[in-house]
Amino acid sequence: MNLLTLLMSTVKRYHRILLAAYTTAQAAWIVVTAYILVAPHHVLKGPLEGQVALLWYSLIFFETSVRVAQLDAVTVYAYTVVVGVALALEALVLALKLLIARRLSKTMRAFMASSALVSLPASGVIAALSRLEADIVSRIARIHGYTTSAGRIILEEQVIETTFTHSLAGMVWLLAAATSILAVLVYLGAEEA
Amino acid sequence: MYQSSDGEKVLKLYDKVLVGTAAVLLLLALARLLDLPVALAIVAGRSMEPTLRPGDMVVLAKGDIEPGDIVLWCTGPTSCTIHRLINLSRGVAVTKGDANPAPDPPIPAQLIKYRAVFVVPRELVAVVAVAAAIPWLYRRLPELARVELPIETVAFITLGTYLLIVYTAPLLAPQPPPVFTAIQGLMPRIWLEKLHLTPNGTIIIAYGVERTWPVEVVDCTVDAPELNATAECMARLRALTVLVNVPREFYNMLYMQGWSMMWLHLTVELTNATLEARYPVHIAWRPVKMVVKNCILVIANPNPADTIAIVTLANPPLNKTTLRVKASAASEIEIPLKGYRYIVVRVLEAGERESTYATHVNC
Repeated sequence: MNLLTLLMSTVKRYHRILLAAYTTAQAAWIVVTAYILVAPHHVLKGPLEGQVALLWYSLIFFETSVRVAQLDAVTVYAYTVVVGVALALEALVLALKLLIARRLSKTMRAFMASSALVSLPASGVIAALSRLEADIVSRIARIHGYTTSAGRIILEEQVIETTFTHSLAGMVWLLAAATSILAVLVYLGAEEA
Repeated sequence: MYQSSDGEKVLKLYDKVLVGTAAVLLLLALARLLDLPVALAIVAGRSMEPTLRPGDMVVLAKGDIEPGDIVLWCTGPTSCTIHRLINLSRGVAVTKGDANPAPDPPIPAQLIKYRAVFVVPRELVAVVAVAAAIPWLYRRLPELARVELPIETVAFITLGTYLLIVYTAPLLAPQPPPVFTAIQGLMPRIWLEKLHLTPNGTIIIAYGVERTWPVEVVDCTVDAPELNATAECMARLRALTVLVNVPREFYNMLYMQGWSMMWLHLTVELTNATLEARYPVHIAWRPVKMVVKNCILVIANPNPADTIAIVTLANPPLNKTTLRVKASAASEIEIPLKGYRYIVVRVLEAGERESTYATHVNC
């Protein structure tokens, strides 16, 4: 018995368990990704106050609301992850249908697996956007005192607090990788079943 | 049969228009990279509000530009800005977002690639996209559900479409270069408008402010490092003016030493910052004036320091009087001269120099 045959027999035998695991992992990826998109990654305190998430930000600089073009662009790019989440939701619905009804057309099974694979590039986009956002935040928060004809203006110290969400964004690909592997195994198992 | 054939023709034409429009839009989106005469961009930021809003589609064209035009300038394939051109001279262009408080730093004019010629509002883009997609999906989805597609095809379509979306997002909505005018333009500003030393020794400091306001003076000192002398001063804030009262003893010490420079240190709490200032204050010591008017000797001290005048009044051989008079800062002393014919006044000037005033009167 070669390795592939062993794999296929295992996948077929534990198909229901793999499907349940995949459904759970896919649901977890959706929830975590949605949280990463919405929850603030950076909290700013000082002259520039506010919160910065991937899909939104709110910054107040000396009582004036500030729009930062670079963060607006990050928000636009983050919508590509929303598309990924939408595809993952479709894959989850199909997985649930397969789990409950035990039947799914070949094309829909393929679509389920393909949509699950989208979580990998989407996780890469999240990681890249998080790093880009951190870089933009550190640049805009570089607010120092300066000298004018009246003297030296000393501003309050600018503090950037990085939240747990930012760390999570760098690790979500692990969940995406697990989801993708399980999706492929579920597809292979369903093919055999 | 005739009607059905006619309907199919319309649907085929609809498909062709839809695919053709999508192809043209894709080509226009990539046109910027190929430097084609016409290109397309989607607004990502809010710096041009209300003229351009995020999601608005802008049709761009090459051509002559002039101040007032909305232009697109790029520093890289995915690093572009759509702002209004406000100045163009000698190959240097200055742009500004309509919603930004300050202009962008000047850029070489050759970075400007396109001029905005037409704006498609985001609502129209959304309505047209949904209106076009719904009938297509309505017709195609049942067909797709029946079709048995291999995994390779489905994976290629799904992942390919997703990656296309991911990679075209930065091209369609390019990220502006790292120019943070939004923050820099909102910095509190305070500048010195006037610093004036009055004859009585009060220093008047007037400020101009923008986006801030002085709240209180928290510290005030004066010093003359060369003389190793320091003193605390009293400062009062009146709107944008600070009135500083320097102790008389400090002026007296400078006067005695003949020193005409001191430093004023102020710490002013602003509404959102702190101002730490160190101003040089020059004191022009002037000679004490002595005048006789209507048999009255007037000794006028124009300086902020006290001094001593020794006045000798004589009417020889009858009498002779010597007075030691304190000439307070910025004040006048009047001494009646009735019964005297000669007066000699010796005054201690700055730097402990003595000046003498002698005159003959007939009082």
